[in-house]
Amino acid sequence: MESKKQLLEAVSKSESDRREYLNALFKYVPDAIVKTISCKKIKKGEYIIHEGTPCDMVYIILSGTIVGMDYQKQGRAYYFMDFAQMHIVGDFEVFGDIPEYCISICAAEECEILMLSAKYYSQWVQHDENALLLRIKNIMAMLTFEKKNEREYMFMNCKERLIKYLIKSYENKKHKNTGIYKIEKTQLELSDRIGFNIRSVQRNIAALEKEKLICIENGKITISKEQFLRLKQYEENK
Amino acid sequence: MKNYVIKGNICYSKTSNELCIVENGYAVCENGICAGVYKKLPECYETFPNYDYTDRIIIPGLVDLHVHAPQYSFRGLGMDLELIEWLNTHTFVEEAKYSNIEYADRSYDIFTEDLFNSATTRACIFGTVHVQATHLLMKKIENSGIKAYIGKVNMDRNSPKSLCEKNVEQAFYDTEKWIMESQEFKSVKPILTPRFIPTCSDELMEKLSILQKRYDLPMQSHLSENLGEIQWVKELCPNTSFYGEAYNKYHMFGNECPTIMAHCIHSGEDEINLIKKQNVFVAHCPESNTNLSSGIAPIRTYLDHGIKVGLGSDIAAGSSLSIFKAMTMAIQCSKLRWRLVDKSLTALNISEVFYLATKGGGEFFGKVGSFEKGYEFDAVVIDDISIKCPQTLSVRERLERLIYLAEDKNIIAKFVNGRNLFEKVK
Repeated sequence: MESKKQLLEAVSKSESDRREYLNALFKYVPDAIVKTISCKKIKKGEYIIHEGTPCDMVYIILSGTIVGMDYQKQGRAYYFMDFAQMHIVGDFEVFGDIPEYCISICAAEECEILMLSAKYYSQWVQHDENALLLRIKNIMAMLTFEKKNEREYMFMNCKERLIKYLIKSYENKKHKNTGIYKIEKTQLELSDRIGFNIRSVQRNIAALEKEKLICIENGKITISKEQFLRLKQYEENK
Repeated sequence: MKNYVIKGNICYSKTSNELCIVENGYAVCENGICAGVYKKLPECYETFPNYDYTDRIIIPGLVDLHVHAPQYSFRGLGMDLELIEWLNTHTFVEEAKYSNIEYADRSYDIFTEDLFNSATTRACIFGTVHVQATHLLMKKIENSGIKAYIGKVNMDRNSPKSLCEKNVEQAFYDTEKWIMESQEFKSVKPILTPRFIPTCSDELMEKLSILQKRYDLPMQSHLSENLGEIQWVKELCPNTSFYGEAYNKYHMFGNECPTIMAHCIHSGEDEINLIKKQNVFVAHCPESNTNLSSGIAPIRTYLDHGIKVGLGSDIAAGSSLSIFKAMTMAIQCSKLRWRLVDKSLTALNISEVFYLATKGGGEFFGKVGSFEKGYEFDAVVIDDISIKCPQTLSVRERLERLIYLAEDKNIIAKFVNGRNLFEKVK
């Protein structure tokens, strides 16, 4: 980035919550740090961070969604964590003084990101109480919710996890008023995403269809607004 | 934040004749102390957080060396009298109300809020004789973040009974208790404050002198403000040859007792020499001196003598807390003095009054009032975009214009000893 003005222009393209957070975060960012920041577009499925590689960069997500990934023993991908509120990745390791990234993160859709070196990021937040406090607030809120969700998630059966995922997907869809939403994931991908075997997933998809909570069109799950609201009610009543 | 950089048009004084301006430069704050002003930021400060005030004017915080907080309630009123009559008619009547702590609370809230929003970062403040109200004032100023010396006023004669100390022993006890209780504050410190010689008996001055030595305190009072007052002091203190001696004989006139004397309008040669010799600070209060028809202080003479001079708003003989106004009036009064009184004394200029309002008065607080390396980091950021003009002005011209035209609404940020007191949305 040539200047703070250019940086803030890039930030201004983010959605409102993220924009507000990043504007506050960058309020006192030094010019010398701004000049080390670069902007990059990441394609869907492309990795931003690879677990086990040196933690040398911190990434700030301007637009798009990302997912955290881990690998099960048999080599299958396991998606975890809700990254919707995650505006910065790679700095957990910086704060923890951990030399290598602990997880892999990839783009769930096309993303625009800012990158700066972990060294400069560290130097900046060491001096900038405002940025440090904002970052700590964000991290602590996220970890607290994540731990709470993990505890709840652990005791959910396959149907409950599937419903939770469908609700989240519907809520995250870009055009909220367009009515019917199609889940593009295959049954195998859904199985990886919610952590149940594919036979359980298939059985529960059939059950949800029977209850008219979802529809299946050309092998893909679709959800209408009415179905979304019923799924929400189901989740609340459980 | 402890360490940071402020970017903008930085203006500060080195001497009364040397005004430094660094356009879109960087002033560095390290742990509350200025680490210097730079055109290009040194590498070691590059990762410090940056308050970006590009194109705004950044000046050291202004210093008010003489202000009466309880009189703020009647600012702008009763300006048609001379000093002694004014004191009896307006001031003493108002100050008596501060025995009521609820009244003091309401009044000092207003004073503190307005001082907070002004360009003043340091002040030497008179309270009233009341210990409780003065302690409350100290608490409010402490909470505001402004650094100040605040004094419980002492007076025991020639004043209404309600404002006089009960007796000298009680005054000693009350004042010592107040000094002890003031130790709880960090940014606000006590300063001995005998109102002025006509209202302080010899016995009271002796007791205050004991406290001054016991607690190593500074002192503030008034000197040679009004010709009638000076004549009165002559009658009250027949063994002194000039007004200043009446303080000096109690060792409360500079040297080991850092002293601010407000006004010094009619000081004679001997008094001026003693002021100089003992490093007494003169608080020049031009608006007050005009309002009470007191006269025009010979500030040029004081500067030529190397006397330490700062500016005071002297509320409520002065009507405004603005030290910008004190600067402009200092220039204007000096011009009148040159024209009407003494053509050998040239008028003050912008560079000189800016120095008086910053480094001149700031010296009473230590290394305060400049952005030179090692000075406490007091800064005021001013946005002058609302003061419109068709032509392009240099930074120096913009500063000059601000001295005449700045209002509190133009102040967008304020820092005291490195602490950011406020930052308005840019």
